[in-house]
Amino acid sequence: MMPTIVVVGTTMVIFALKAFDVVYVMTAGNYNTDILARRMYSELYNAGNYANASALAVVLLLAVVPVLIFNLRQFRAVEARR
Amino acid sequence: MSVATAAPPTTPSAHPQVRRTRWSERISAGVAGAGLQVAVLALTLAWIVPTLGLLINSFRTGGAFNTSGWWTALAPPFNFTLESYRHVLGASDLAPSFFNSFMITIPATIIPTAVAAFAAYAFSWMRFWGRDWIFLALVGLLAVPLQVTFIPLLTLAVHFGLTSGNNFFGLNAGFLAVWIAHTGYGLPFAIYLLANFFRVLPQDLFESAEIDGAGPVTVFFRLVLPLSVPAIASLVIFQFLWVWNDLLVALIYVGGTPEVAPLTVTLTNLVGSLGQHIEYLTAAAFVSMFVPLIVFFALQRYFVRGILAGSVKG
Repeated sequence: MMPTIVVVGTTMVIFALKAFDVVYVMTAGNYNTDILARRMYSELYNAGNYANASALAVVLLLAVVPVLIFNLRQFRAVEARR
Repeated sequence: MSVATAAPPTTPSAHPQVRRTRWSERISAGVAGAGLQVAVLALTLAWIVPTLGLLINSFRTGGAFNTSGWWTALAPPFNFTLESYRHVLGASDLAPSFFNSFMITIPATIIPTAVAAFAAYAFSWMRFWGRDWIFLALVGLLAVPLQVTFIPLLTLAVHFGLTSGNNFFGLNAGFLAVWIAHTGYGLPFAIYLLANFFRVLPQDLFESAEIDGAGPVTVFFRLVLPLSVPAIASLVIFQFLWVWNDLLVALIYVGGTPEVAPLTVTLTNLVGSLGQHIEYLTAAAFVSMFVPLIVFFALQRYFVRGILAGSVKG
């Protein structure tokens, strides 16, 4: 079961981190509900602030890194077992 | 959205195994399983309630839809009407948009699945330099919100002439753009899913195939593909649902003109820009749900067959 749970867990965490449309449609980031992906979009296309948008993209990538490391360890474990 | 309604039928399929055990075991298992069954049933019901509300709303008049909750329609003065369905099914460009939806969805499902199967095989069973790191980069790509890619990719598509005004060997070039876009958006997840499935196939199979003189291509087509039918079927379902339900990518890459608009775009256009006749969307949802349901039930038997085949047992 473990590989399956890792796959589903990874996908869900990453999909939740990159959520965009629901927040964009419902509050557009107002009322303290802004998230990384939507902020990146508004920095880039509304504010024209390329540097901030790139920084947010890097932050988003960094937020995914723990999941990536966990995945890497899981791969290695599966490789070692077979 | 229709995944939610389609998913529950898979859960009861685990039960026949429980029923085949002996009487005494059945009773004790029944007592223990009752709690589980109640939980599963409650979850399924909770899951299905919004869809049920949507279904009931699709049979109500526009006025009632806007002023009261769907549950009020269940009380005796029944005022059900087929008005929304009549309007949605009577839309003049419904047939062409069904065609366009298939035109977009079928290649945009087959291409990423095929590419992902090859790539996943390489990632899980071939040794090459930087394999793990490329794979990690791929998983990292899952985190790119596709909304931020629209402008750069559309600029690129326009630069190469892949817009719906142009012809590409008799094919509307906009379709080509949307196929490529969906392939790109779908690939990270597709490769990730398939590679994780391929990776846990037993090594003995690969060793014996190698001893029998099978090359990588033979191993892929004769061994990996037949064993991975359940994973590929689920990937096809996922990808089909995403592309079929997709509004934004199609709107951006092929545009909203009637001759290229897929079903989602056409149905959304039934609603006025200020939200007039928003009740048509309820009926539209069920019209649009029809095809993914057929695909789901057509492919569901491959899950069962894959589990019963048993060739993955050590």
